[in-house]
Amino acid sequence: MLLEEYQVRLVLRFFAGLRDIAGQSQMQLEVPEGTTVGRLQDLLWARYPQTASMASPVLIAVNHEYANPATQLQDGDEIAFLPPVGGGQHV
Amino acid sequence: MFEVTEQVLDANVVLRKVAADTMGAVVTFVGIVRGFSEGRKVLYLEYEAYKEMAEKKLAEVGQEISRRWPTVKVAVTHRVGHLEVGEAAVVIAVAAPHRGEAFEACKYAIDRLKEIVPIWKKEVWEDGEGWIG
Repeated sequence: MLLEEYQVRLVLRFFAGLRDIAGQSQMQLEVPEGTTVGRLQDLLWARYPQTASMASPVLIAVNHEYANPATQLQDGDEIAFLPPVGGGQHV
Repeated sequence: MFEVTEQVLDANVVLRKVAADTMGAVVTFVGIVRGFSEGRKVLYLEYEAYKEMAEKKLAEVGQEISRRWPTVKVAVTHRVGHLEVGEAAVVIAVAAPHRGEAFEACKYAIDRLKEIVPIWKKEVWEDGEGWIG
């Protein structure tokens, strides 16, 4: 792979039950330019199949703001994976 | 005015942030760690926040309140970390010239907090543990 294809460097953060599943609270990841929030989630869910057991949908924040799946990721973004708040799911 | 802390909460400290001589009413809400959850005895809780975002979202709740009730002043402090049964997890203080707005805005604050502020709790029971939103 050409290095130039991997220009978007992200910091990923995991909280609560998702941190337990990921086994870490933070990681760095490089993805191709143009990667969306939805695509990133697909990549991670493939890596952590246990996320399928989550009872409710996970919320994703980009730079401290709730994001939707079409949001395009930029170099240096902080992406947080948030279990639903105020819900009642057990992991 | 909007804070996530590991320190023990004191409702009076939060109340003093909003009290003023124009305010005839202060309503405080204190969320307390319950000793039972769905029939299970709770030993203690672990609260976790995405601190930077949680403080930002608490401030947003405050802005929403200012738009709906322009005369109201609100402060919120949420504790994180290890909490024992009976300890305060969150304190909301709402001051208004008159009590009606203070009660309404205080209920709005805790309802919105539960909806949009990224804070979670893990209940630790005698026979296991689980994350609750």
